[in-house]
Amino acid sequence: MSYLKTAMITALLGATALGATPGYAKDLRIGLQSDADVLDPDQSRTFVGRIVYASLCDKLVDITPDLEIIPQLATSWTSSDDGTEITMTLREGVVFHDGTPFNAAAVAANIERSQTMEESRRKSELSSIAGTEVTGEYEIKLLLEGPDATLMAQLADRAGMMVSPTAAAAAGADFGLNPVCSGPFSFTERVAQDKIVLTKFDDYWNADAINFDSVTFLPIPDTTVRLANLQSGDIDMLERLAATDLAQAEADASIVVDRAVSLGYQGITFNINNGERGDNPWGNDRRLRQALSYAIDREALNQVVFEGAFAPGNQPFPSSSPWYNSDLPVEGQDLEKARALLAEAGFPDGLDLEVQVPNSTVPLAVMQVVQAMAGQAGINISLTSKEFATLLSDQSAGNYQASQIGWSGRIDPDGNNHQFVTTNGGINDSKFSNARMDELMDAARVGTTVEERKALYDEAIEIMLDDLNRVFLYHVTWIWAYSDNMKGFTPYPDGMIRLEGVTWEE
Amino acid sequence: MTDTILSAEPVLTGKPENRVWKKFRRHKSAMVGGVLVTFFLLIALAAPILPIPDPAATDWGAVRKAPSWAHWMGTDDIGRDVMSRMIWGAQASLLAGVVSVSIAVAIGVPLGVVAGFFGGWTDAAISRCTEALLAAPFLILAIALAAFLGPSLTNAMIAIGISATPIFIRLTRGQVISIKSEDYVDSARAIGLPTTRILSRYILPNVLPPILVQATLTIATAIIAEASLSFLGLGQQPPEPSWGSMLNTAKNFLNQAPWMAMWPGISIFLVVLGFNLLGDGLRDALDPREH
Repeated sequence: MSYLKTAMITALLGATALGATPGYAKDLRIGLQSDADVLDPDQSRTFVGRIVYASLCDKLVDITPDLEIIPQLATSWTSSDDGTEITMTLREGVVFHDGTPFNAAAVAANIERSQTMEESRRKSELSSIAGTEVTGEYEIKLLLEGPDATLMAQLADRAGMMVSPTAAAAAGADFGLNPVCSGPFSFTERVAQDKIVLTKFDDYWNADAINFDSVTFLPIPDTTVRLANLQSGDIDMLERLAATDLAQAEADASIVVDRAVSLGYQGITFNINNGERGDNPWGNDRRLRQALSYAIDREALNQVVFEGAFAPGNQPFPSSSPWYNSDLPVEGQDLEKARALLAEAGFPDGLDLEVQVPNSTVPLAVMQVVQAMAGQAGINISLTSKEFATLLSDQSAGNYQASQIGWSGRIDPDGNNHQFVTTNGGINDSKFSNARMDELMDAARVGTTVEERKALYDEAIEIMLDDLNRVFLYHVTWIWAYSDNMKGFTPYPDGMIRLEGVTWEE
Repeated sequence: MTDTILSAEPVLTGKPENRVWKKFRRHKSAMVGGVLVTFFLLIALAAPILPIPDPAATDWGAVRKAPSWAHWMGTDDIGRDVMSRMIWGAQASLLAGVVSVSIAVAIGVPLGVVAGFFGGWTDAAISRCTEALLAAPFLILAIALAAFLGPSLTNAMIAIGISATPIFIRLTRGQVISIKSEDYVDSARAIGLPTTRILSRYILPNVLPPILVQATLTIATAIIAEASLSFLGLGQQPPEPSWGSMLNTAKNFLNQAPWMAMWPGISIFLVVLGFNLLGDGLRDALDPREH
């Protein structure tokens, strides 16, 4: 008996010793801000869901931290001269987690699923694809309705994620209960609101770059609690550290903090012509909106609310983006100009503005700071805090004067603009309309070279900053905090956690 | 004729009032409660004349600063003076307590009197509605109403007032039922006094003491409810301060700026304690059986 015990303890100790060896038997635990929704790339809509996919599902293409499109499952692609056909060469030797081989037929099936499945939320993202043509085991042609410069960026996100056609056909809309993709980790287990466990996929095409046996995602909504869990070692990494917790995290020698400015923006959207409430001085006179913009000290806003960790902004992209119009940098507060514009518009004694704001701490703090700044110029802002879903529905119904709202951002510049500023844009809640803007936006959508598109966006931004149906305030910075045992993590502006090349050293 | 009737009434002379006051004064915890409530009342009333900074004035150079000579209770997340916000917040909290209970009393007592005095189907209708309202927990009902009415301090007070009404209907009804069979009420009826006069002269004055006690205790509950609603963003709207909304903001800075949560937390505790002690003391002092 005692011999057996000794043998067992020895075996256990041996196992522990093995566990301490770098890169072996390590379960990486990541704290997420919320629980992911359904784990089906075609159906899901949450940001945290995408973080899980970064380990679970490979895409046709990926991005670099500088937003260049690079190969992932597609190794190369060429566009026809008229831009209506894209021919892709696919990676060979890739298998899905269930053993189904990845090939051109699989890609065709995936695109069809995204376009036709009733529950799919990817339909509009792939609407420019008219059909596919399998031209070889590892070659596929995407036939487009017309040139679409935004398509490759869509394929670098959920619309380009490849799921096993066998599993998808068998599970139908219930695919999310047991997702089967071709990413570095395969799905093992999920307990709603508790954890999502993925296990390393040994047949992954790039398995050598993966140094963890499993990865567990834990939803921990409170940022302070997430940090406490990291400090106590219960988790190894967390996403979206609160800017106000930065000092505490940075003071801890065993924690590393990394950041990347996001692709999105936060600002104030005005009701220009959306129903009766658009007919007010703020909706009718751009000079008032310009006055508000001049009254705001964006740098101070960033310092006060975000400890300087975020990026002050005046355009739909952060200044770090290649699409930023650098001729129009973020300006400081100019109260004289603000007052002059108010007077010019016929309100020398200032006027009132009602802004609706999401009912949570950060937006409320931001708007109270803006309120104080605008007050210096004579603009009396009154705030109405609303639950987020109510705020959004009031905004699309035109039941608002101005709204503090943002956008999580897209890789392609089109995603941050077209739907907000074109006359028939899907989420143009301002009901803003400018013929030249429509032309520019549509032209940029089909433009083929980066230079050509950049010129179009530069002009569009000039108009945006003059018309100001959106007054931009700042850009969120993604902040990751992780144990200093973790090495090789690269921050990306899309906020994802890519584990290729990341190692664990104790 | 009128004179004779008046002299037949059980007129309250100075004596029993003195007895109540004497009993109240001997009640030590009641006095503590009274002092606490008076203190916060005075602060709330004096808010406009006290030499304190504007509660909405921000100072970007003093964000989340610990208590100091310049800011006795420190500053908050966007550089506002916490003490000034505490004092103005006292106004919101006490106003919410008093106004919402006034609403509850103004609706609840007449309904309770009508139900208790007339009985029959009137009583049945009022009592069933009361029970239906009582079936929903107080705070849940207040949150639902406030969410329905839209977020503002006024709406929060209305929501809390309506949620607190059933308890006053119940209490008044019970009191009226026990009092209406008293000999002096029968006598008043016998000599042919109109119902309204019986109600105002004999019933109401005698149901008031327990209602006063209940009202005092409910103010405490209402203050907590207002703080809860403001905490959820359904009460006082920014930048106007309220203890509840201050706590809501403070919860994100417990590590970096504990004073932001400490002061409103302590104040809610003290003012609620004050009203509860005061209510207990009043109950003892007004109870004719206790000596």
